[in-house]
Amino acid sequence: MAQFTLPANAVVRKDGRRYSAPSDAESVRSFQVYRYEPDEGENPRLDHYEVDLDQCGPMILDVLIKIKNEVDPTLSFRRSCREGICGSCSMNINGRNTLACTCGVDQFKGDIRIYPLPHMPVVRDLVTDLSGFYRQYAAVEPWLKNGADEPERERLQQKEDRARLDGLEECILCACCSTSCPSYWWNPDKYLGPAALLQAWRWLADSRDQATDERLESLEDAFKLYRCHTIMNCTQTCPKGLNPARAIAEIKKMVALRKS
Amino acid sequence: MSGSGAARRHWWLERITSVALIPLSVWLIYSLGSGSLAELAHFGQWVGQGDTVLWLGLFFLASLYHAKLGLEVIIDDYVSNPGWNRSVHRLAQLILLLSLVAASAGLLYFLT
Repeated sequence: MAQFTLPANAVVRKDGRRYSAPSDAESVRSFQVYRYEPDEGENPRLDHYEVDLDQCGPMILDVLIKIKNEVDPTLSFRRSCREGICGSCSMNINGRNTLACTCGVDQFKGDIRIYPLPHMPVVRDLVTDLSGFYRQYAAVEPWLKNGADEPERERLQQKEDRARLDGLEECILCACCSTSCPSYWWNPDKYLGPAALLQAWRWLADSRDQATDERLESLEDAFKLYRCHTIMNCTQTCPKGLNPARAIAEIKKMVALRKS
Repeated sequence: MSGSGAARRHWWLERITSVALIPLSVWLIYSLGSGSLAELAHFGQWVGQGDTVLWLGLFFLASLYHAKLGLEVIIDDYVSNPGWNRSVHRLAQLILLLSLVAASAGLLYFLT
């Protein structure tokens, strides 16, 4: 059966450590950050950090970096580009999956809660294990398949053919969409998830790719593709403004029209 | 739901039955709301007149088959254990079969 009880050490303790802002700080905001160290064998906890925003950059990632540098060096999170390109700092901020580097503190009122991406194994604190996510991406074979002889220069496209890839190739694989999807939560081992399916559609929509039948044959599966129930969380949460739900619908349409 | 093309057929049937249910549901709601069908005698007369029984039969068939398709999806979503999955699928099929028998018996009751 589906598991309706929480696994051991799943309940998040609210009584974590508290770190106050300096007494002369004027613009103080409170951040509740999920902390978990699996090796300790204890439940995760929420640590409370007060940060002086006058001494900090405007983004959530700036706050996390300030906390790590100046308050609590044990805090773990991923980050790299700081401009919404690498997808490393994806996390759940006030209940929504997004990138910490493009999410401003001023978007929220009151305390700000920062959790790891939902329903993923936590390696430590805000760092999740994305191995399964990357396996799903690899499963759609995200590369050009063209049986023709290797050309001497790049394969050319009409402008309108290239335009079909707009809104598809911008995906940065941050996993915000897949980890916001309830269907992905229930069947993460069998459902490919919105991110991988968006990439599958990116290659199906590519006029240079010649493996359409092979790709559709692989996708036509009750779990790989049809676990999408058009919940649309993926589209709502995508920090790049992409539309994975539409990509999935396009794949379903292509499968349906292919053989019917 | 397994085998080549099964998932695609399931997807098509979901859409065909849901589209069919739109006019059938509108017709049923309009019919039930327009007359004095709350009284059993009037309801029996209504079922027996013209092609009402045909449309009612189609409504029951489409709605129960649509329910079957939807339940299959829900069970596959939430019941991951293979043994439990098979058992719950059979239970759902039994309940829907009994519902179909009950609907058919009800129609026959008012027709005879």
